[in-house]
Amino acid sequence: MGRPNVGKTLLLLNFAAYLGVSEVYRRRDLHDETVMSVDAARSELVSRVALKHLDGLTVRVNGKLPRGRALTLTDGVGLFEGVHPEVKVRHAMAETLERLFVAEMIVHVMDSRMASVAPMDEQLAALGGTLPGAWLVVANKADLASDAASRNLRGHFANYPVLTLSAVTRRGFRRLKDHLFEHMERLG
Amino acid sequence: MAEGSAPVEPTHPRTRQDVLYWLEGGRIGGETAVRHLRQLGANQAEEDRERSAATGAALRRDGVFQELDALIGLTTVKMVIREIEALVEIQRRRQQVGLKVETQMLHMVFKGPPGTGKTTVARLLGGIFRSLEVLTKGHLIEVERADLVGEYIGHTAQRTRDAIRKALGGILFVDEAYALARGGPKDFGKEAIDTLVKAMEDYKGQFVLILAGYPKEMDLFVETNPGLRSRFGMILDFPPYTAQELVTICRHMLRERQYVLAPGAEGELEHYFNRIADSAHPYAGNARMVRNLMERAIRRQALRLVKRRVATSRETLMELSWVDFDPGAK
Repeated sequence: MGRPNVGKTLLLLNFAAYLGVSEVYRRRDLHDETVMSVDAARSELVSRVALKHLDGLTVRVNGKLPRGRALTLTDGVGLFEGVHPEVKVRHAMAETLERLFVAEMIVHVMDSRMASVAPMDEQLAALGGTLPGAWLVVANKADLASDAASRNLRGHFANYPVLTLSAVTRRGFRRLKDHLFEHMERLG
Repeated sequence: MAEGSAPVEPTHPRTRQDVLYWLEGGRIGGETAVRHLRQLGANQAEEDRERSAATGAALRRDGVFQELDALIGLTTVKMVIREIEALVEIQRRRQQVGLKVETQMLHMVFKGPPGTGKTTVARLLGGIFRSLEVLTKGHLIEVERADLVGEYIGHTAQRTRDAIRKALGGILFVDEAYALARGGPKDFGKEAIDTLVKAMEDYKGQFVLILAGYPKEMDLFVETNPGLRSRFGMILDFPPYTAQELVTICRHMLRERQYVLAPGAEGELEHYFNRIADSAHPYAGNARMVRNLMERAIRRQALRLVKRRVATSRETLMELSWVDFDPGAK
């Protein structure tokens, strides 16, 4: 979950691959769910231009986790600031926001390079404190950012755990995995 | 301004749905929607607090005890809480006739694996102590090592004191408390323990400290910290739930959601719970596992019914059968 173009989908796909998953589910609506490979999803859904897809992308990780646990990772649509001109996008944003209230953990993805924290990210982080699920801030694109930028983010969101990583180089995936598993352990 | 200017942006949503409709309708922007959602969440918490303050103490007391009794199993825990209630009452009467009154040590250790009701009981205890006027607020502050232990010298004491201050008038619940002793003598966890012990003196009677965690680890933790041992009057055991208790828990949870178990499913469930208990499965006796299992069954029932594409009756909509549960299947 996060603003457009912070690397949510690539993070989801590469992290899925890191966990040993090769297939993802792309859901257009309740009855239309297609299975596609991680590679196909990557080439179809990830690009440098904001907003590549509106439909839900879900990764189910079964049987590859300790003690036979199951884990479902879901991609949210980019949360735009201001009123987006397309109703489809606004609808998808509402859906994504609604899902925040039921998720067990919310991963708030940001671009490490941003010079100042966007109003949307401020509001999202504030919302985090009122939600039932756990909140994790991920500072993505660390391969392109300075260490100081990541440190600033960490200082700014001191209420939450902040992980610095890169979805492209996969640096930091291990810590993300550990954090996720530790949280699942706590949930029992 | 001339007529036909841009419509005024709506404010003061009543529900989450309002906010999402406004967002979809293009009447508010993304960040505004998120801000409304946050404010709704904060208002809700405040309303809940006010509502609980408005009801009379006696009513509240009946309520919390009813809730306590409604918990499945936990026989010993319930008994001890009844004892505490009686003791508080008798102390009060003794005081009225001028007899000696012992100051009470209400700090407790809760020993048990995850999902055995420790937090639930702690929350109820807050309400009970409040209704008995032992605590002024009775709220529960839940923390764990990461919330108390800081990163530099002095930081830990400060963070721990903050947590205690928030808990004044209520209960401070330290989950997996043994983790405070994890890092050895040089670890900041020690500082957190010392601060807690000191606060138990400084704020005597103003808050109740509950340390919770796995039984073995907690035994060792309390034994190796003499400062703690002498200050905890009560040690409550939370044993893993039996298979039968888990089935009852499941039935209750389902009833709340207007679902029922199909004939046969109950026996299969109990059989399954027994099996995982025998195999020392990490989920054995864990009520949270039941919740997850049930929630998945509800989803799978939905899928099963949708796939069938036939009319569904009230009964079929309510009934969960064993195929919906079958935890062996993925």
